[in-house]
Amino acid sequence: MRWLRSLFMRLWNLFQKERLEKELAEELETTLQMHIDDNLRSGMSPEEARYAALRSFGGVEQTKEECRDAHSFVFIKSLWQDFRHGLRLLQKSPGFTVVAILSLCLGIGANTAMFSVVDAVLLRPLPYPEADRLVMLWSTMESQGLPTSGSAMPNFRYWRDQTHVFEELGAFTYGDFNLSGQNYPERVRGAIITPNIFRVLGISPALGRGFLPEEDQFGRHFVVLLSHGLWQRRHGSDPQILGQSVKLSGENYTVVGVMPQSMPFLDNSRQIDLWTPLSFAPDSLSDSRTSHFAHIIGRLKDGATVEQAQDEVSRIAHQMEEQFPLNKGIGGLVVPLQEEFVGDFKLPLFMLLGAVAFVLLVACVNLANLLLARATARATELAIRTSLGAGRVRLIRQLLFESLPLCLLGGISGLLLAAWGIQVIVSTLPSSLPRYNAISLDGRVLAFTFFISMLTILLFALIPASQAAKTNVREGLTEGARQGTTDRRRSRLRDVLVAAQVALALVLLIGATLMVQSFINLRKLDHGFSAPNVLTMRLPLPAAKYPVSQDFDSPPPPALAFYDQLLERVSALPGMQSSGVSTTLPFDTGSRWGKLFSVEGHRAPSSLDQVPAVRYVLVSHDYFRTMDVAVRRGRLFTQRDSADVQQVVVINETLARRFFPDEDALGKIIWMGPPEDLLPPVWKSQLPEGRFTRRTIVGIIPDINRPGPREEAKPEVYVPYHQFGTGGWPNTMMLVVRTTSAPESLMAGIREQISALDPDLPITNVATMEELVSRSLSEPRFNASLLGLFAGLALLLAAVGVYGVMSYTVTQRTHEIGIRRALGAQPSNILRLFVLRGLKLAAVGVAIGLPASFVLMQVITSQLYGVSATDPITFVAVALLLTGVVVMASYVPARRAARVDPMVALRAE
Amino acid sequence: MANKTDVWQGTLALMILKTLESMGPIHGYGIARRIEQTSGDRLSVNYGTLYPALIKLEQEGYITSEWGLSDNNRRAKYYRLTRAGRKRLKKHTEEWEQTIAIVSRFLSPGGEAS
Repeated sequence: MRWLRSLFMRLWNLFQKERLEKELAEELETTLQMHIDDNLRSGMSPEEARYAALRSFGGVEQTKEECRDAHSFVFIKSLWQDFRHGLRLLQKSPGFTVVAILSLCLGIGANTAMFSVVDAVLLRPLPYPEADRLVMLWSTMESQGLPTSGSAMPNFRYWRDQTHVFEELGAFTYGDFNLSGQNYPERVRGAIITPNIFRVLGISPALGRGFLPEEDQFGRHFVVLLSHGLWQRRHGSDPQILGQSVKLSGENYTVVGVMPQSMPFLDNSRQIDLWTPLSFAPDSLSDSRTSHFAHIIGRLKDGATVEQAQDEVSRIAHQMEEQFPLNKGIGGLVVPLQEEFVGDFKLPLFMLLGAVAFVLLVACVNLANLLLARATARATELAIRTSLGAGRVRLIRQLLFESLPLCLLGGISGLLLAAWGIQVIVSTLPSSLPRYNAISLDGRVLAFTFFISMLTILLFALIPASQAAKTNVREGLTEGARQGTTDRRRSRLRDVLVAAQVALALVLLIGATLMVQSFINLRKLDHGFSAPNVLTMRLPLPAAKYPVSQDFDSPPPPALAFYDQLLERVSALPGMQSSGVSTTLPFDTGSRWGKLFSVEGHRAPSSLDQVPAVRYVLVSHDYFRTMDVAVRRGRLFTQRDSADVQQVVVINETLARRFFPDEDALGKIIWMGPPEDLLPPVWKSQLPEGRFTRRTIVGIIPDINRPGPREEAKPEVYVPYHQFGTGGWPNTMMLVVRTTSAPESLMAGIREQISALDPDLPITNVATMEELVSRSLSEPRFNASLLGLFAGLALLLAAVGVYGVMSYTVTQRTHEIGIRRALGAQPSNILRLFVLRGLKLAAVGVAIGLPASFVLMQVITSQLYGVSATDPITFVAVALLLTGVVVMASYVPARRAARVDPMVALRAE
Repeated sequence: MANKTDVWQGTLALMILKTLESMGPIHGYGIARRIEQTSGDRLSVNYGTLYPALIKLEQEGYITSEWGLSDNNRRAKYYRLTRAGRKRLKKHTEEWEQTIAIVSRFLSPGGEAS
């Protein structure tokens, strides 16, 4: 307990320094005086008395020092002194400090930023309880070329009732709603769900209740759940919201609940603002076994595995095939939810994480070299300390604490860089990346960055520390100490490290160059249409106002007249070159309508599941002209292609290739449906004259709709919208306009025309075609730019590393240079000597890096386009570039070596 | 392994405590003089070790100090033994006497050999 009391007193003394100092001085002064007085009394003269007293006193200052030590914490003070010494060292060698902190900052900052993104997107679990039990259930129609598809509701119900592996199984689809009533009309995205969806997800409403099971019955389904954001935005977080009514697309719905804040609905790619129950009007075609639109999500029972679920789902699908002929060829696929969202991104994100790890390695090598060099330079000082009695532990402790300021500075600057870097990365992320978790600098990342920071420095400070402590003291103190073997060994180690840096930088540079080339290739792709000066927007005509009859004999739907009039008006606007509408725009914008496809005269498939499916697009007659699509063969649509003349279609090249490989497609008769004999009779009888509308192929256009930059186009059939026939009518279309210049400037005029026809119609998804093109490239652009950035960083760090090592070598060998000069070597010889040394380092690095690149690049083949993973030109060019940079980095110190004055060099110790 | 300084500090502490017990409250200089006297001038006290020793003893609570006026009207710090100090002194003395007894047995010629 005594030591505790002592401890407290010492702590207390920390705040008492001044007072203690004064008291100490006073006490010692008094003692001295007393001693002098005594001496005087014993007969000495005043001077003698003073001298005698002082002599027997010993050192006053020493006494004071001892007392000071006794008052406080010697141990901690010495640590603090080491720390401050470290700071002073950093100040004294600014070159060292700048490079070290830069390396740390870049290495840690880039890593933390990248790791934050990967963590939020790939690693962190979805924000639902026990999210690893959530899976998606897709229907598969392999024979029709649809590896995954939505499911039909009857199939969903069958799965739901017959499988035992799911705790809950729910279905949903997305829908857009016109929200009106309160203040301004707004277009919101909602999800239409079976009432148990939130049980599947494990989320309860924050306010009110979820849907009751009976609310999926038609007529009782006019209830709605609001998102927290919507509730805040439109209803001012009104606590009395429950029971109030909102108008959705013309119908009144009652609010029964509000969902919790920041609850993303699945992958959050679109903000979901409301939920309504999934219900069907009686005899609705959507509730049939052929309408595959529903997404199915389920929660596995505790302990069930995905494989078990897959087995059971496939088995039940097989049962359905046997029971229902319409289900022939339809299987089921179970995919874990997280995999569903991020599966595609795993490779590129991990690739980027790997790249940034390389950058960190290069940075660490720099640090290692710097610290090694510094340790060698301080060998003398350390030797002196050892001779004065510093134990090995003391020395190691000292060197460690001296490295702390560097650690802290590097770590903090790295953290700042990471915070900024994350913002930059987030703003350039590809739009397709799911971001259901917010990307931010969180605690885990913080811990990660400090761990890396400490690890790198302490690791590399410790190696020289333990080496230095082992140094032979006599060697260190001897005049002109060469420390022969140790020096050579250290020098070799440094060279190895630098060669490793060069190799790492080479791998990154090659990777980056390949990715950049891919991106450029993708950008140069001929899209088949002309993008500049084209504006697009989406017109979601609500079914309530523009009803669509299911009957094939009824008059044309009112929406058709709307589009006719709109196109007329819009084309008349000044500055307009042409305009058109389409259900689908390039890059899979808009609807992804698919229909079964048959060709007259071709061998008919034997069963429904064998009938192929193609994309079906309704367009206005001027659509191709507006998009500036050049017809390959045949003709495009004209105004004369109306409902009562020959029904025509235009197909794309992919369809022509696939279905008419050896013959001319022009003139062939096709229809959007299976051969009628394969249909159940009750359906066949519903068709006019028992047949699907026969259509003639009149033109072939290039593929204009590639879903993604590296994906293949699907076979497509384009139909003039007046001739929709048995194909069905969609109501929502995309408006496209081509202007003479600055498409955005005509927006106001277009809005006017639209609102003149229908003032309540919202206009959504306004974007220029160039924006759409750019968005389609966002992923490759992101990958290429980040990888390029990291490669650039690695190159910079490696160049700095080479420069540093070469510089240091020159300094070390100054004496030797002097000797060489004295023996007749010219400055140019010296220059050549060091440049060759740099070249050698580069060569070794490249020699390691090239085969490594060869192997590693294979991993990213799937990300490349138009360039092979082992493209020899790229490899050679980058290798040469890197060699050049390394040689340049060694040139500067080499020049310094060449200019060394031999006399000075020889005199140097 | 205690080196020379530590042992000396240990014995110095003992001597300080003893001095305070017999002399009562006294200042640092007085303690030094008294120790020298008691040892028959065979020990000379280094103030560099005395004062730190005093500080340590005070931190451990064996002595207390207060400022007072010396004979020749100077301000000096007077040290006094505490109860804990008295107990410590007693214990320390016993330990020393034991040590001495054991060592003497070894050093006495012939001794208890039988």
